[in-house]
Amino acid sequence: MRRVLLRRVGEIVPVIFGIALLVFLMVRMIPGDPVKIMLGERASPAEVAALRAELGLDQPMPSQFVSYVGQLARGDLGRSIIRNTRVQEDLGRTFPATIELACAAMAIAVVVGIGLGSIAALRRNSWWDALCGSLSLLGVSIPIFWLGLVLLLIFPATLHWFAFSGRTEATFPTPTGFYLIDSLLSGDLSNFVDVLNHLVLPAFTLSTVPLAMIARMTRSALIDVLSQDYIRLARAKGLPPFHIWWKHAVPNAMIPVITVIGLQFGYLLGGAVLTESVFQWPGLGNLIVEAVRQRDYPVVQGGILLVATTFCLVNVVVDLMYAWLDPRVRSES
Amino acid sequence: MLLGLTLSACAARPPQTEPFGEPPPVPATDTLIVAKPDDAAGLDPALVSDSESSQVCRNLFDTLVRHKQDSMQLEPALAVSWDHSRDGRTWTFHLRKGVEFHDGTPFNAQAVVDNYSRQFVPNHPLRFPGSRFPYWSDIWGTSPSVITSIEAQDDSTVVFHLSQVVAPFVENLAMPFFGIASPKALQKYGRDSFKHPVGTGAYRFVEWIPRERIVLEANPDYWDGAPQMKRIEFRPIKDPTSRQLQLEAGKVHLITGVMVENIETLKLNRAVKVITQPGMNVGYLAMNNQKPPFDNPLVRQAICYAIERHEIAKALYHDLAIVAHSHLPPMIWGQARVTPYDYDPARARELLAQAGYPDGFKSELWYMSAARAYYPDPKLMAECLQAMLAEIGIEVDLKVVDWGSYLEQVGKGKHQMALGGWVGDTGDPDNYLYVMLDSNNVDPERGGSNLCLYKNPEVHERLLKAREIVDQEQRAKLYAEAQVLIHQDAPSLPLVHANQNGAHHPNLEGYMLHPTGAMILQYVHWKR
Repeated sequence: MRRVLLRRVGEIVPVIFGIALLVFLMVRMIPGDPVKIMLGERASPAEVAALRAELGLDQPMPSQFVSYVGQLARGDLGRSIIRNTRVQEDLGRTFPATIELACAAMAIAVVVGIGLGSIAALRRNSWWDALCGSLSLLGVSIPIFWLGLVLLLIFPATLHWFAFSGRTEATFPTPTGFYLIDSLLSGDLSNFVDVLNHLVLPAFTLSTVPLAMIARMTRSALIDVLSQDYIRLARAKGLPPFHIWWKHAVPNAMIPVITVIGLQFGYLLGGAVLTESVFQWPGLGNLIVEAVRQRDYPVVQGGILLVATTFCLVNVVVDLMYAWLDPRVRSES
Repeated sequence: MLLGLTLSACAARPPQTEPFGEPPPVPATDTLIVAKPDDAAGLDPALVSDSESSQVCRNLFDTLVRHKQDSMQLEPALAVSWDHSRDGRTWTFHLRKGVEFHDGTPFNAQAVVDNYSRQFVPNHPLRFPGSRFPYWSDIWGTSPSVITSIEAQDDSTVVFHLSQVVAPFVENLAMPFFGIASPKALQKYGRDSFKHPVGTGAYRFVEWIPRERIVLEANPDYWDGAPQMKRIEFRPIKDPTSRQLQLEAGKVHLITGVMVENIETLKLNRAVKVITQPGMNVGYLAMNNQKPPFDNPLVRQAICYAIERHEIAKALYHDLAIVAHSHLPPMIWGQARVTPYDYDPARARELLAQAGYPDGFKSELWYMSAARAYYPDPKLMAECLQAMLAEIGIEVDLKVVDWGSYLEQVGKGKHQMALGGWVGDTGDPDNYLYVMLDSNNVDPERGGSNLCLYKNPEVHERLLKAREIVDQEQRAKLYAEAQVLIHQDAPSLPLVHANQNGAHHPNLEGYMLHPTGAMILQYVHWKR
């Protein structure tokens, strides 16, 4: 297990370096000049040149990259060229928001998805199966921004349930940046309820796609497992159906499902932009999109690097879970 | 397209003709929640250039002079009076006495000197690494700056020395970007002072959680009387539908950026009061005057006659825009009397034939990827123009260009035709005509603000002269003459001046849209 961990972590380092290089190059290849955007529509050529020099953008690309890597090694992501905030600070604020939302969405997706998929597999070809199938089809095909707006229209606007947007209206200290935890730490339950009220709709909206994927994957993996001889044996032994499902079928069906969960989690990190804009969730996705639009190189680089690193780490966790679930993987390593 | 359709479908209720809805309850405390399309970029007025930031700063900081709440007229603010030397190059401001910054630092002439000097004196102690002063360099220039020095004559008198006459000098100083911050606070927070605003304004800063909220509280010692509203909260809500829904539900009390297609229905909702007013902007069709066939004035005039602008104002703006007859919005002085290019396709075809294109020609029209104040939907505008030009035989291909690089590419003249536009910063004609049409702003190398790359020495002479005299009557005459020449040359076709729109709780009083786009919250209060 430890060797799996060490090997996988060791593999991450070159991947992250590669991503840093790729992002660095890509950001500079999109047309559009950050200096022009910063100085506005009437800047004089002299000012443009001066600012370009100040930001180091007049240097040749290789030396820009070297100084960027040097900065990274010192743990300095630089300052936003548009807002002048420290990139660390921006990421430190938006990253917990994104993680909190992604985790909440993933929790919904895993519980409901595995439940739906199992029902569909156990009651194969019944109307339950058809219902689960159509629900998951709906889940992957429904446009997120549309669903978000419809939910806003139904719940906060008409029924006055849940909040419209943002993360909270309450005021409490936020040492961790994860408001669910911070509101609990504040000792006031009403803060926690307020945070939860803000989290429900965006989390549900964001969960639809992974939920559908997990449900479909669970169904097909379970159907496969349920036709195996050892399950037939378990049935023949007269074990109760729940016991067969939970003890014998689910763990064996989980390997492909966990792969999907890992991949979907990565998608939730960077792909939550639409949900973030509809619910005004101050997350990483919007930060990066906004920074791309404004050619705010340091923020784009820092943001993508963070997402990539997290994605790599999620993959390590997925690998560890394989090893935990499947003795064969453990013994191989 | 699909996104736009669905969003508007979501927002649109069944067609209403009768008033409906009930006003949400008035908040129990004197709190106002303002929902804006975006968060502020920073809260040091000298460092920002976007309207979201300047709208917040306007309430935290005062300028020496300011616009009245309901007009473009100037009124004293931190300066009680001002005068200029005979040659117009020295301006003296007499400051208000007894004013304090929110941190208790007294406001005086030295504070003015410090605030402005940091923006153009190299190595000034209040100039921090990474600080850029976009509006200072825009308006006064840097190295050299038009303002050559500023001195405190005594505690309440400050003198500006200029290298040349700047006609709109006082007008320019009224921009919220020239708000005055506590020098002590600038010193204390250094590079991070954009997060810790300390001014003399009607409201004091409480907290800013980026992308979540900015909170202000009333300044009880405000020199112009303590505001009645005790607490203001600005919330960025990007999605226009969500902003509108939250206003209707009473969750927020004042919104900006209302979708034009929703305004008719919104007006019938008793939960909301819609406010709309002509904006200080212009949307225009920029033809590249240096590329054939647009180097021929006959072709440009033909295009002007081919566009039915009244129809555009009606269909695309739901009548929340007026047809533009000049680049100068109608509330600005210095207008000329010209016969507008009214829609006349027969005349357009005739002019095209005269120019040697009896069967029309092929061309390209660029539009920007993002909506602007003057174009709620640039693509739709481009499609309309395309259809109208097809009527006179001009076959137009549309090309969308990312807003991030749009101005640069169009400024360099890479286009044939492009959608152009401008939102004025001040009420001075110079801010429009010189910026959009003077030959000094043609720059094919780096991209200038004259997007039609129009050069006319006679126009140039008048625009330049009008910058250098103080007398408004003489200047108005020069601007009128320049506009007549521009109108004949038709370098570009002004399309519309779009309204600015907002909406608020029906019980909110004392709020008006300002032509400059400023958000003045000093006078707002709840009617209970």
